[in-house]
Amino acid sequence: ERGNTSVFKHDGLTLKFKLDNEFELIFLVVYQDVIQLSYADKLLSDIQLEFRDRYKNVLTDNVSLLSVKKNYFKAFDDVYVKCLKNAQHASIVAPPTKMRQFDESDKSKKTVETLIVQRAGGPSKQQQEKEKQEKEKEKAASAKSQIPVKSPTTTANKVPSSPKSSPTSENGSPTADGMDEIAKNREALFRKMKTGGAEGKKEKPKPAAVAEKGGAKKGKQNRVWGLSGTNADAVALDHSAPRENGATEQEVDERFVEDQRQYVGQLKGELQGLDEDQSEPEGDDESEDENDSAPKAQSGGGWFSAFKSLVSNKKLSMEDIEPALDKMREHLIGKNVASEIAEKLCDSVKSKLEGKVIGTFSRVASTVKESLREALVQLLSPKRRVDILRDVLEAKNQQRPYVIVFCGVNGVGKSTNLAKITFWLNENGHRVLIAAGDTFRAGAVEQLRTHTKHLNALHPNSVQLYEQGYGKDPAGLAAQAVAIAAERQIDVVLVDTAGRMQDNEPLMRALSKLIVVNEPDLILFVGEALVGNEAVDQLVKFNQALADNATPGSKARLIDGIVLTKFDTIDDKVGAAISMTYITGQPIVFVGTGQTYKDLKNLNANAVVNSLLK
Amino acid sequence: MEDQMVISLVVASIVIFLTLLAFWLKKKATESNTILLVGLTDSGKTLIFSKLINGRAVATYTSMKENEYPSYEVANGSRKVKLVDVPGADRLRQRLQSHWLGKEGATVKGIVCVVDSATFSKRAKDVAEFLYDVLYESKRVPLLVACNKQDQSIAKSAEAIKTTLEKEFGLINKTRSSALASTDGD
Repeated sequence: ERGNTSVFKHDGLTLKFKLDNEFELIFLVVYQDVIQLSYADKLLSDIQLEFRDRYKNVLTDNVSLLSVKKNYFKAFDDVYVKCLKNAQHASIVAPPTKMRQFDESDKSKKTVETLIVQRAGGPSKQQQEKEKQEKEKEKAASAKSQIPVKSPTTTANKVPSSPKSSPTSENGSPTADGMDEIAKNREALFRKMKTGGAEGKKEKPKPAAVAEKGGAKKGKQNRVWGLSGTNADAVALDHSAPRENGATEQEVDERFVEDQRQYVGQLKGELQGLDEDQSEPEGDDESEDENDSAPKAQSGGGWFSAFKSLVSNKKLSMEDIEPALDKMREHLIGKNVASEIAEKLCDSVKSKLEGKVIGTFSRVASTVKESLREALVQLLSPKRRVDILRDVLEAKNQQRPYVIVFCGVNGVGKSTNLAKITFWLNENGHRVLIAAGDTFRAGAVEQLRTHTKHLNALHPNSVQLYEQGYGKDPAGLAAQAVAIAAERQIDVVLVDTAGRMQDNEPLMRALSKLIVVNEPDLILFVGEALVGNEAVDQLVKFNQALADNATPGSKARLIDGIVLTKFDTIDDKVGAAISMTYITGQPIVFVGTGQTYKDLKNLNANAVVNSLLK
Repeated sequence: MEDQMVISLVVASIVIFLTLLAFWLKKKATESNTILLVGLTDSGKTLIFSKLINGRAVATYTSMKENEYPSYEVANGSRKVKLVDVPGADRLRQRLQSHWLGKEGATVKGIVCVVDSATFSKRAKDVAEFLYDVLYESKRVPLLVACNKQDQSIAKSAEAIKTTLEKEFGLINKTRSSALASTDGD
């Protein structure tokens, strides 16, 4: 879902593309990175206009388009060559900006006296300030005159005429805006200095200096901290002595005991363990909820559609789409989508809808919403097959264990979800070895040992734990765990790692080393659904670290899937799912919805998008 | 009095005419006359599409949008059907499911699933999963599995593909039934 960019780089080639939404065409310019074509955008827009004008009639009608003669479009070759020549000429003709000669510059106008730095003294300082003022005046004037000269030349290489080239014109404007700002600031400074000068600049620096010194002489004042008390309040805050109206300590105790007495006798017998509801297999099918998502309002339009073709169509323009898109963006951000991601999504929807032809019966807002819904569903749908059980069977056939590594920042639920996934795998008859790769956090190994005990109680002899205590190297530990799993013919190895912040360089290197050494089948990033804009940073830096520290020459192993945890804590602010899939492009493989073993689910893209757009 | 009768007759006939028009339009909109060409990417759908329509082969690229041809005449010229070539890209598969098999499911008359026989051995799992999904969504629509690219030497024969797909379906049944429940719209 990258409709907002118009440039794509791959393998030493750069692709610039332009979408024509009215006729549903894509125009593409491909060239080598080293060449750096300056006229690519102009070429694209020229070709687009020419093609549309010539073949407008053919393009609108499917039947005639698909049954055209063999070389119908061959006549366009000459037009293309002509456009290419034009674009090349235009880029050459624009002269480079002429540098100022020394005579025109300000430095030549200064006299030698003013360039001499005097010690603190009134008159020369005043003179210096006067010179500065005049310099500002000149600079403001020359800056103003330079801007109209500069902006045409910077934008001459970009697209001049076509209204559709919004991404490229946005590229051209920041430099012109910057110059405007500088000029504005200079104007303001000049104006301020002028009024200050009129009142008598001599007094201005002096009173300022006097004020500072006067303040220093007053002596240090005691800092008053806002929320804490002073000594005077201590009396009121002292609750150690019994007060007249309050109860004594003993009475408070008794009241508490009475409150708790009602619970005595209710937890009689064995604790209701995790056992009772855990043993049933997870047999639900995942596609039950998909059918209610399709908007049912379209069923009435079934026989309207014949009328629609008779009604005139409307072409969408920027002004139509902007307000609806702004509202959608705010809505998405309100649903906990990271703000950068919401921005990019709205830009891509904008580029897809601009110039599109819609029937007048459909409103702009609903078209925008539909398009956004489609984009979101497409984003959440996995682009490769996600079926872990199938892959485990495959690895079993090849007589090797299937290795999964869990990584993520601190406190997101790696160990908890590792235990849940172990339970699920056991339900399906696979034996699991847990490698306690978190050798840093106190209690991590014990936590996994407890989980192993519970899981073995539920499914006998299905889980084993490999640990080496604390302080050891996780990469070596994982390698040994995989070797033992191969020896004991265990189906799956789950490697738990320590939580680490994404900008902790040595820890990221250590994680990368673990992955490079062990070459796992699946690298899962565990992220919590509560995360907001931080998700972007976490994922980008994790991927970056994995890519940077891979062995040179071989393809880097990046994050293969996402586990979204603590999903039960958010009710419908499900935007974190979108942020994470957008950044990595990888699917969400598991969703954790609680702390017991049964709280593991798959992601239902339609349901999530529904709650996002509700 | 006569005027009243004439007016009421005219009104009645208009109402009847409008009702008939509405029924006719509704029938037209949900008439099943669409044939879908589906399959994974690079299986040759767009090429088959253009060959059926024009009789000549064009150089094709990965499709990003469906190609629709509204009035393709079936062999003996008796019926006109709409041929739709649906892109096989993974990201666009959602559109196939929701739009063609979901919303307009009633208009689908038949499905042709094109399988690339040359790369089948590597992508058997993906082909099987795709076919499984299509079969699941389309209800009682006749489906033809077309094994394409048989001219290549490493192409698998139709029987081999059939047995492999059947075995894969068995495995998919087993793994799908033990898959996790999906999150409800929370």
